[in-house]
Amino acid sequence: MRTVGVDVGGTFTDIVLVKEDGSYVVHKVPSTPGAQERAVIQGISEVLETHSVDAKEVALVVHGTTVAANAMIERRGAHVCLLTTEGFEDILEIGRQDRSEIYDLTATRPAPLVAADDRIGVHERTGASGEVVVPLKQEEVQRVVRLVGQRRPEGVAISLLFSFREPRHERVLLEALRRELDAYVVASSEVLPEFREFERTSTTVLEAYLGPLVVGYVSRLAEMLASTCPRATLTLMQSNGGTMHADRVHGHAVGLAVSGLAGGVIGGLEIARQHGLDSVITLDMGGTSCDVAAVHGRVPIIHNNTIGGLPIRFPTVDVRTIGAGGGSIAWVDDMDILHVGPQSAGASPGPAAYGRGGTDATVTDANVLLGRINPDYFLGGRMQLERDLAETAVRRIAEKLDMGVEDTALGIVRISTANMVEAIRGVTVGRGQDPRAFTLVAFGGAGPTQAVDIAQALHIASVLVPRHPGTTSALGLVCAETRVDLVQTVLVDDPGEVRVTVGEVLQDLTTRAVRRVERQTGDSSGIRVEWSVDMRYVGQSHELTVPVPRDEHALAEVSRERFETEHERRFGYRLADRGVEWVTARVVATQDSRRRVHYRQPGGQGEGPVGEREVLTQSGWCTATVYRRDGLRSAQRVDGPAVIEQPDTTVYVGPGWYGTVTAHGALWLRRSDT
Amino acid sequence: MNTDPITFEVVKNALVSCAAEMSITLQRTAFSTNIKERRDCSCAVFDAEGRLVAQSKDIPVHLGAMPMSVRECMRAVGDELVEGSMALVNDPFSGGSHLPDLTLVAPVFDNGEMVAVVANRAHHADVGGVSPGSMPGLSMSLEEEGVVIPPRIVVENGHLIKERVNDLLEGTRTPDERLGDLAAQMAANTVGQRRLREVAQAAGGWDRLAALFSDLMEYSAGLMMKAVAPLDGTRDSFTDFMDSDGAGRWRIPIEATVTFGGGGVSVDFEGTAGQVPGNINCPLASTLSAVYYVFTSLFGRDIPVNEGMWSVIGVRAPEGSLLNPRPPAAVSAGNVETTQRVVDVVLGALAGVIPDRIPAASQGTMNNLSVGGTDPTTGRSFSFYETIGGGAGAMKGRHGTSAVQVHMTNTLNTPIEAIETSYPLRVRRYAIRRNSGGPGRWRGGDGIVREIEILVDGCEVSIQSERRHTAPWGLAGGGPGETGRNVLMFGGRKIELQAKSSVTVLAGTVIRVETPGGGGWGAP
Repeated sequence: MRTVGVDVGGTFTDIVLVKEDGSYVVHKVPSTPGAQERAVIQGISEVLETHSVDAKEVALVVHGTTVAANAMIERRGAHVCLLTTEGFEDILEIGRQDRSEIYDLTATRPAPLVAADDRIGVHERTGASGEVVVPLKQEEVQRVVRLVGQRRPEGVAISLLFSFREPRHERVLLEALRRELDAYVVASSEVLPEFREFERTSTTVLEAYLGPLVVGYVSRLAEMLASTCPRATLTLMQSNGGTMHADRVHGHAVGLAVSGLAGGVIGGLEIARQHGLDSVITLDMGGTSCDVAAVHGRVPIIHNNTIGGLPIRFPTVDVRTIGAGGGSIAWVDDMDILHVGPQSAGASPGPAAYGRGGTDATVTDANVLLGRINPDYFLGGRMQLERDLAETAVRRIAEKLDMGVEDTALGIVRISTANMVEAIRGVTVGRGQDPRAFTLVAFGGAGPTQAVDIAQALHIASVLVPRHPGTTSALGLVCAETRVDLVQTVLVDDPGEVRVTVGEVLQDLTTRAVRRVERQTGDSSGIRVEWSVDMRYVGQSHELTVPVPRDEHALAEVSRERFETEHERRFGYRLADRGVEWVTARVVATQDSRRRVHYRQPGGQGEGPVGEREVLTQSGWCTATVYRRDGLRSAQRVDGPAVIEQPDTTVYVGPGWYGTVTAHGALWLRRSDT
Repeated sequence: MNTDPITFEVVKNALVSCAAEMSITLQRTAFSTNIKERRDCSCAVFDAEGRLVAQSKDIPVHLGAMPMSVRECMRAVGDELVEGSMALVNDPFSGGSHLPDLTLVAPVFDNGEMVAVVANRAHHADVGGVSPGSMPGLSMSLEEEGVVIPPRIVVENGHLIKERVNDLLEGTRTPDERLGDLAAQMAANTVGQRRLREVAQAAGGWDRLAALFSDLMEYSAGLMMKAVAPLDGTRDSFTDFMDSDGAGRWRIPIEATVTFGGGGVSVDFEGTAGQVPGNINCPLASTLSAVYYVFTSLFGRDIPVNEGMWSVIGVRAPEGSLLNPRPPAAVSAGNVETTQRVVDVVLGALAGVIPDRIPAASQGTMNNLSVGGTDPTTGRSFSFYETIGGGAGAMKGRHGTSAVQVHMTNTLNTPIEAIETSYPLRVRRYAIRRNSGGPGRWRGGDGIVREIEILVDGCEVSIQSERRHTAPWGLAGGGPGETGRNVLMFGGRKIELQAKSSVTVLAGTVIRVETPGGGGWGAP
């Protein structure tokens, strides 16, 4: 049986087809943005045909889709009605009453997803301890159902105050609306039973807004897939880095909203694990942007995020994206200081060297001038780069700076590197971790060209470049585990209550999470359950998520100790005589897919250098040996300065570094002094 | 410039992240709602002379306001500012803004020599005084507003010396919270010191970094100069009014004349009223912040914040005036209310010079509301403080945003579910105040209606607000926004409160605040 991973990107849809033994082939087709499913099906059909594989052999298709994210960015979601507690209809629009850009005299912020006319107040109120302050009467339910019905929404979101404490009123409305209306109805106590009304409401509205569209897309795709690969199960990558069975998407669409970046992190980690590493920084640098994540044992998760400027409280792989890619444009400001990005020349016109009319100097142009990128072997020689055009573009910058062309090219790369270094600091130092303890896994078309510079700046001693840097994300999909995340706010500050209250909630969430995994995979073995609690000192209002052992007996003491240790690690101090608060209980149930991918690097006598060329370094020109990646063999050593060319990227090994080819086909670059 | 343009760019960005990392630490670990939810704090890096070289742009009201505090600390206790020590100050007449803003200053040493300074300022929830929250509605002297801390060393060898803050801990209603917030401020400075050492290393040593500090100021000054140069030779004036000082003065004028020329711009507040008995006097540091905010927004959103940028903007506020008061003037509302009017006045003058780039007046107040008392279920005293957003002014080509924080503040609201879990309060209504924005071709944004029920007896409610009498103006024929209102509701009665008020209330009382709308732009 075979597994297929399909990752939809802005330009290309990547497909990997994996055999049971883990060996795989890769394929690329242009994406079809209007109807993603077309490229997905086309790509699968093509890869099967090219490699003469019977479609019936495909047992599983793991899919990473950008349908939800695009709908959000383009604001193409459903017409939604929102029900709130009476008097609080505007919470969605007021938000946290802040503006997105402080130094903007016009004080703007993103428009709400539900218009004022479609926000309906319900006469009811629950208090802070879950007590009913104003009961929800039957007549009121009928009135509300009638009002909603008249507006003919495609989606309905219900979000009442304190429903995380006492969901009864939301449930009554939910049942009545589902009974009476043909719409996608969701309640905040099911989507996200967490306190803080605006964030919960926003997330619930997103579910109602994206749900109809995502469910429609997934069922269309499932139907097409049924005729292409009749025996294949379809699963979807979620923002939390785990997969979900396609038929479970109803009510969980919001979980796909920021799933696009998860595959790369999982793929990077998977490749690192094959090399016995589990502390890695993944760096996916393409044409316009660069995504970085720090993985310490497992994929890092954050619990709050934003999409299109609106908050989304769904566990999300912690990836930082910055506008730094090969196409990032270098420019000089009024005070003659050089900047790089965030504007990008994109794929069209692209860097000046592409010869497609672009005149701006980009990072790629600088790398051509430094001798790193070979103009005659770009995309394996399928595209000729124009060195002269790159030089003209960089010269224009150099003249403004009153510097030489060479120094300017070095400067462009140095600034681009520094921008990525700052992003990596954000996900390491900013989270209380030391980047020196990590290995950098560099992929994407542009990542391997600057990986050594980045590592050097961060005092990182080792860099791993996967065999196929362009398909890391699709490989990650195939390896991803099945994952269910459940949360429930508890708000307990009495340690004596923790065992019963928090413990019970954790147990209950565990039962539900495990059941959901079983239902999706039809397999109850090897389900891993992890507990954590969001905690803070009484009086703080940012929580730290603290993993705790799965045992409610010592929960109060163990969680307190772990919280204080983490607080000290992150912020440098603890407050031993201050009470702590258990805010939100979290349970994650995962089941390993037990799927692995292996690239077996052929052994034997590798090809020697195909030539030499001059590369410019901070200390001047020096001679680098040039290799072709396809010719390298397992255990082969390459000493820097060297350039290793392959159709989908260029690997630059700086002076003082050397690389070895691993049995898994990766290039492992290390500082010579280590 | 002494530094090459490449190194300059790299180190500049690193300095900005240094201040940002300090800020994250402070917000994540603080206890005061003001700091943690409302981000009423800021962090900055200074050179060895105490000149600001980089600042986190968290909240405009602190923009450029810290250097005076830092230099006062260096002047007053510089000898004791040794390695491992930190100095504390909140005195509005030593570079402070108002008493709840505590500034903690930490030197950075290299081989026994002071090479830089890091500092942060944070709005503590209560520093004593006559009202919970230390934002009294009706104070008439600084002493009534809380504990005054002149520059003094409070941290030695990395440890807080509790005895040195005894006055603060005795004066405040919530001493535990003060200690927690001070710990957070120390942590932020420690992060800053550590990060700055890394930046120095990356820059090639402290000497190089010091040179780069100067370059950075020159850079920002140059960019600001170029940005304002096209307006050379233009000039206009504008006058607007504060409603009241809470102590019997009404309709208090603020006048500004903005003149572009001589390689920069100058703002002269000649014509502004003298200082007043009530608490709307605005310390010079806060006046400067308001002016800097306007010019940063209009001309320098991408210019790194530092003293070089300010050097291009001359500000003159007559001594003894509302905008540069002498001690012991009461100042607690100056920082939060008067600064908003300073922005309005400077924008009003600029509207005569660049009409298409200036919005009509926004709500022009922060609607400071504090409620304090004792919670009978826990026996502990509590104080809740918040500011409430309102309507933003319209501009040519766009309507004003509704229900948003404008100009000098951008603090978050406290979630209703957090308020009701922590305080004996129940929020009854939180809504957009429809049709309160000024009419116009482009309409002003609407204000907010917020109603809070007080659930226990004997609570004190304090309000500092503005634009209850003088409406936010429209521009180019657009109409003014609605003025705001403060109403007390109990036993079926409604009582209109003054713009500045302090009242003690019984359980079941509802305080209703209706915030102003923004002005419209262009004839409707």
